[in-house]
This record gives sequence, C-alpha cells and structure tokens, in this order.
Amino acid sequence: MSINRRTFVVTGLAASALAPRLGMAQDAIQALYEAAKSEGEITWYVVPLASESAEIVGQKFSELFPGIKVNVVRSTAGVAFQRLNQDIDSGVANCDVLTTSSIAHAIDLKSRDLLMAYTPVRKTEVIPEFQNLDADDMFHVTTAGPMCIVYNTDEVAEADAPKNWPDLLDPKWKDKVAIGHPGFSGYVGIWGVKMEELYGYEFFEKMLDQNPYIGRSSIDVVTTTVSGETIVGAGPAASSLAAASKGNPVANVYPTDGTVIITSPSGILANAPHPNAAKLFSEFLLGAEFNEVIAEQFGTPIRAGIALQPGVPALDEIKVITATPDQIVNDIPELAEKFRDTFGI
Amino acid sequence: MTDIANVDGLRPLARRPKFDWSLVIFGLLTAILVGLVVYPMSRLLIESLSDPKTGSFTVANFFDVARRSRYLIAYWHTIQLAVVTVIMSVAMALPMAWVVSRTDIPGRSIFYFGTLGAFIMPPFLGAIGWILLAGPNAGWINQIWTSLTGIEEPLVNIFSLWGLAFVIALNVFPLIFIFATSALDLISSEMEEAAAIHGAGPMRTTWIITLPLALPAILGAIMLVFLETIALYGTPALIAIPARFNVATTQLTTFFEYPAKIELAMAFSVPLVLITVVLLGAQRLLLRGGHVAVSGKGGARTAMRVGRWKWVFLAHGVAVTLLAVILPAGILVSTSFQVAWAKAPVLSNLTLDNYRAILFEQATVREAMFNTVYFALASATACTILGFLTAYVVIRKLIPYASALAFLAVAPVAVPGIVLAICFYAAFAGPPFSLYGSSLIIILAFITRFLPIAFVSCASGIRSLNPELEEAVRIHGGSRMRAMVEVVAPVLKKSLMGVWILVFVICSRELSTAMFLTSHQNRVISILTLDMSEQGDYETLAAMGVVLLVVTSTVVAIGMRLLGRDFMLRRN
Repeated sequence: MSINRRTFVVTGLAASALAPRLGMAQDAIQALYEAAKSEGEITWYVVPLASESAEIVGQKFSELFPGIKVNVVRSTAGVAFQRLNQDIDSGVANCDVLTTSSIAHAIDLKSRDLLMAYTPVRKTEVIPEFQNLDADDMFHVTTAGPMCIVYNTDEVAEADAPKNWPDLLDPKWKDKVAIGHPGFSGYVGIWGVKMEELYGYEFFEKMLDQNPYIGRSSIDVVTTTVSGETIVGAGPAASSLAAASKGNPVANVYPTDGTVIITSPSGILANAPHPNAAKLFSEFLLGAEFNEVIAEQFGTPIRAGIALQPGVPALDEIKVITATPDQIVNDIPELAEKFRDTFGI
Repeated sequence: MTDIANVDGLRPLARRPKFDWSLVIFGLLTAILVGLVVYPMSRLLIESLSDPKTGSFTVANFFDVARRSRYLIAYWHTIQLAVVTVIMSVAMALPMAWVVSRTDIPGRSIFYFGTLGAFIMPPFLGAIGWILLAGPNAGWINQIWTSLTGIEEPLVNIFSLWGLAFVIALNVFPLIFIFATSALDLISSEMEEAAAIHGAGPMRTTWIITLPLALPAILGAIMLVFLETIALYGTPALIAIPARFNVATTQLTTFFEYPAKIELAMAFSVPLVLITVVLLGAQRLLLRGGHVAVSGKGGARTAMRVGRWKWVFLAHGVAVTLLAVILPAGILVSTSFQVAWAKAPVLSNLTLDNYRAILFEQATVREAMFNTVYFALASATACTILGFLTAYVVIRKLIPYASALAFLAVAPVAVPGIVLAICFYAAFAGPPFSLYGSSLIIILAFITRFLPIAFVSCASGIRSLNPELEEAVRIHGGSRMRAMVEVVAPVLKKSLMGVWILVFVICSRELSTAMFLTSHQNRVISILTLDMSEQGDYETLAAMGVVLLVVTSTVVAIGMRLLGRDFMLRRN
C-alpha cells in the first residue's frame, strides 16, 4: 500500500516557525497525561467513524497514553444525541468527549451550557480552514468526511456511473439507489440540505420515484452498494474506499457539482467525569497520530503533511461544497421532517 | 388461581413458632412488586395526561398524537402487519400441530426440533438472516433465482409488508404450535371415529370435527401472536425502515429523538396497552369456553392414517423448519466466516477475522457479550425467586388480599416490552433513582417483564403440591420460610429450573425492553446488533449472532438433558 502514496501539502505552514511551539505543546500534553492517569479512562461518543475505525482510534490512544482506556460508543448522530440527552435528563454523566457529524448538536449543547471551553495547544496545527469553528472554543473540527457518489463496479461501468447528484435520479437506477436517513445520520442531513439548496426539495420528490433503499446510517449505503443490493448511492467516500481496498466491487465518483464535505466537531462535556483525559483526548484528535489513523482508514486528514491512501483525493483537487452552521442548525430538522413525510418512515 | 382451600391457621398448632420473620419477607415482597409494577406503570397514565412543561393535567398529548397522519398510519400499518403475520403463522403451525398430535406420519419428531429452534432464534438474528437470504437484489435466494431463470425481477423481497410479516411469523409460529398441540392432545378420537363411520374421510373429519373442537385454544394463540407482533421492535427496525413501512414501534422510537417527547410516547403507547388488555381478556374467555368443548382428559386416541397425504404434510413441516431455523442459521454461520457477505463463500472469501475482531479486538462487543450473560443470569435468578415467592404467598394465601399480588405479578403481560421500557425510563432513569445506564435498571426491567411467566409456571407447580408437607414443618415449629426453602423448593426443583432456563433464554435476546434504558455501560448484544446494523456490517453481526446462539443453545441443551425434551415448549 505504500506505493503511489501522495503527500497532501498545504502552503502557509512553515515548518521552521512551528518547531519551538511543538516543544511547548509537548510539555502541555505531558502535563495533561500526568493529570489524566489517575482518571484511567475516557468515554467517547463518536459518530463520523465506522465502529471498527473508532475502535482502532481508541486502541491507538491507549498505546500513546498507556493506562488510559477509551470506551468507544459509536452510533448515528441522531442516536448519539438522543442517548446523550437521556444521560443529561437523567442526571447521569457518562460521556467525556462527543464527536458528532452534526454541528447543530454541538451548538445546541453549547447554548445549554453543557460544553466545557477548552483551547487545545494543538489548535493552530490543523489546516487553517478547519480552525476556529467556535469563537468560544467549546468545540473544534476534528474530522472532515467527503460524501460522494458510490457505485458497484460489477454492475456499473465507470463511463456509465453518475457524474453529478441529479444523475442519481435517472430512471435507469430505479429500485437500485441507496441513500441514508437525515433523521438518523448527520452526514445525510448535511448532504440533504445541500441537495435541497442546489436542486430544491423536488430532488427528494423525484428520489421517491426511484424507490430508493433507505438505510439509517450513510455507511449502510456503501454496504448495500458493495453487496449489489443497490448499485449507486450517496455515501461516505472513506468507507467505500476502505471496502474497495478489501476487494469489494465499489468505487467513488466525486460529483462535478460538488463533493459534500462534512466537518465533524468534537467537544468536551461540561460535566465530563474524566476532564483531564478528555482534554488529552481532544489534543489527540487534533494530533498527527489520530490523523494518520484516519488517513490509513482512507479518510481525509485535517492536518497538513499526512500521507493519503491511494484513491483519496486532496481537498484542493476536487470541487467541494460545505454547509454553513446556520443551514445545519435550521434546515436539517425541517428537512428531516419533510423527508419523513415524503418517504413515510 | 385461588381454588385451593386455605387450611393454614385453622387448626391449632402444637407449638407456635416464635416471631415469624416470613411475614416480614412477604411484606417486603409486596413492596417490591408495587415498586416494580405499579410505580412504573402509573407513569404511563400520569405522563400521558400531563403537560410536559407545567405538569398540569391535559389531554392535549392525545390530540397531538391523533392529529398527525403519520402517527395514525403507523398504527394502521401495525394492524395490517399483525393480521398478515397471524395468517402466515397459522398456515405454518396448524398443519404441523395436527400432524404431531393426531397422525401417524413418520419423522414428525423433526417438527419439535423446528419449533424449538424457531423459539430459540432471536428475532433480530432471524431478520438479519433473512435480509441476507431475501434482499431483493443481493439476497441469496434472488441471486440463485436470477442465475437459474435469467429474470432480473426479484423472486422475493424481504423489504416489504409481506417480507416483514413472513420473518415475524417464522419467529412466532411456535406459540400457535404449542397451544394447538396441547388442545388437540385433549380431544378424544371417539368423535372423529363417529364421523369416519358416517363416511367422512380423514380430511373432512379433521375439518368438521377436530379443528372446531380445538378452535378456542387456537384463537387464544392467535391473539398472543397478534400481541407479539404489534409489540415487536427489532425485526421492524431492521426491515421496516428500508421497506419504508412505518409501524407503531418504529414510530415510538422517533419520540425519543431530541428533544425527547416522553409525553407523546406515552400517549402513543396507551392504545397499544388497551389493545393488549382487551385481547388478553378475550383470550381468557375463549380458553375458559374451550375446556367445556374439550372436556378435560380425552378418551383413547388413535393416530389417524393419512395415506398419500402424508408426504405433503411432511414436506410442509420440513419446509417450515428449513425456513425458520436451518436457512437463517446456516446463512449466519456462513456469513460469519466471510470477508464480504454478498460474495460466494469460496476459499478466498473465507476468514476467521470476524471472530477474532469480536472476541479479541473490539472491546465493545466483548463487554456487550459479558453484559448479556450477566443480565440474563441475574434476571433469571431474581425472576424465578420472585415468581416462586409470590406464587407461594398467593396459592397458600399467606397474607390478606393475596390475590391482589397475583394480579400485580401478571399485570406486566399487558404492557408491550417497548412501552415497559418507556415506563421504566420515566420511573427510574432520572433522580431520585438515577439508574439510567446502569446494569440494575436493565435487570429490574427484565425481571418485571418476565415475572408473569415465572409466576404462572411456579403457581401451577405449587398448586399441584399437597400442603400437608409444609404443615408437617409448621407443626414441628419450623417457619413458613423454612417450609418453603427446605420442602417446597426442593420438591419443585425441576419446574423451577425449567422456569429459570426459559427466562434466561428470553432475557439473553430481549431487545425492546432494553431499548431506552441503554447507555454505553449496559449495552447488550441485541442493542449492539441494532447499533451495528446501521452500518450494515453483517459479517461481524453474524459472528456475534453465532456466539449468542451457541450460548443459548448450550443452556437449552443442558436444560433438555436435565428436564426432558419438551420443557421449553410447555406453556401454562
């Protein structure tokens, strides 16, 4: 896999300027680790990674910081937020760090004073576009996941594959399209509001005529495409590349009208039972090791200088679109409700 | 339930025991039952009739539910689903029951195996097995169909009302089988012979004599199937969402999306509980009527000779066994060893990685497996003890109003598991108990949910026991407690063990009761399966399912070894 490695370099970060600050950062992180040792564990509610990848991340953290165990709780954004709110309503403090694909959930928690302000020492180490998501440092971008078109390579020739999002509405894909559910999945919610913005809600009304397979998670789209249950769909690029690397018949198209980039924030809960471990984990999420794990899992790192897996495009090589926090907060709930009425589920 | 005369206390005892601590224990028992049953269920009424903000009385929640067409459609879908499921499960179970009970068809003992297997198979695993088998494009059955005929249109589509009902029917038909065989076993052959003498063939005799006599029991079982179906969550979550067929239970879960609308969930649940209460009442009436028609012990029964038809019936029973047990279990086992589930299980596609991942790598799965076994052990033990104590108090009328305890112990039957979970969430999750996410809350919910089974089985055991034995203990100065622990329990050892195993098996796969009580520390396999199925990671899920099946089957096999073949299938 080391062949064809390309390096994703972003200008504007001079290595020489970084060196002295790295030393300081190391000291701060060591101090956090010392404080976190007695806490012994951290509970991470995580959305934008598949459970397998999330477990690998947890193991990596424990390798780097022995003695601190990571409890990985992976679910869709909707379920993670539901469980977190059940925790909060019942007065039970379980979660230390939440990584969710819906910024709306982070903003909502912040508005209810449920997040802890923390300025990571590594904050400025990530690509500038991903810095300063929240003015009060309550949450920070920790992953950036591209949503693109996926197709089954046994059933669809590369030339026939959809080139842009409305191509999914071509009648030739009837009964063979898969999408996720915006009421469950944060990725699908963001993808959905972008589709609505670009093509109006008719996009989903036409989608209804396609009789799509509707999974809960966007990752389910990759699975059904791999299996041949459906042959085209809207899914997370990393999951499908990971599946393809195992020999599965699936490939990505980065649509001409824009790959949707889903930036997932992480925040520390104000009542985190393991606050120091949580801060340490937040540093880890911005660090090189975490981003290397993400890149190995065919993800897109948010730090410069991390080698990408073959087939993973650098973000400046493809047309990308993102949703504004305002769209995510206001438009997704409305879209999810309309979606439920249209598709009946 | 209270037909045994109370002899205790009527005769003067030679030596009065000192202070009888048993009374304290029985008092405590009452308190536990009130805490587990009355308190959570009262929340259903209170929350559904309260304004979520002010807490004042309102019926607005019911109006809110009735106004949304999507909510009402969910109910309508649920009823459609239950009707279709009932028809399918009757078609599966009734011929099998008749063959086992009334005919001389060879090889019919395999039907017991099929029924037991279908009962052990957790519904969500059966559903996953059938998604792999009958997914419209990638399912094995459709792939084989297309390769044989060249027709692209799928032969079967699991993601439909019919598919969903079929998968549920394969899981619930044992209920009808059990009720029908026990009713058919009681019908004497005399009436059938009379029909035969008047020239009716075996089929006609069965149609006009045998079936009508067994009808009340069958109708009773049909109602249970109806109730099981409307309360089921796991299978609909896996199949109904892709099928875009919203049912009441999948709708219920959406009320828990943030901001959680507990009051709407409660109001939405009330009709489910009402339907259950009405049908259970009707079922009791029917079964009572049934005793008259069947008149207790039948006379001699001779097996009916079915001639050429026997092959048809044998084929039917084998087909049901194949569909309910062998195919889904087989596909789970084969998938659990595969790299990619939709590809043929050729050598390059085989791996042990899925097992390595769940057993050694993914801490989450390991913890969930541990929790599953731990909760099932604890719940089965507590449930058996509680059921036994309550049954003893009730049958021997040890405290005033003992029959009220009997009512409390069976009341949870009327509450579908998912609704019980909501009640427990409202009652115990928050302060002052703050049990949300703990092991205790799941165990308590399991105990409550399965208490009726434990109570009814223990009660029938105790009823069959002559009180003389206990009186001997009492006369010699032993306490009630001593009589119970040293005499009654040992005598009823086998039936108590049977209850324990039954509760263990159903706890190990229970999903809906755990639904809203789960946080990360108390996840069980059923919940984890649902979480992981969101990503469609069927290879790992299948490996988990196989491990779970091995554990439950082992327990059942031990039970059969100790208690005889049909202990799982006896129902009271």
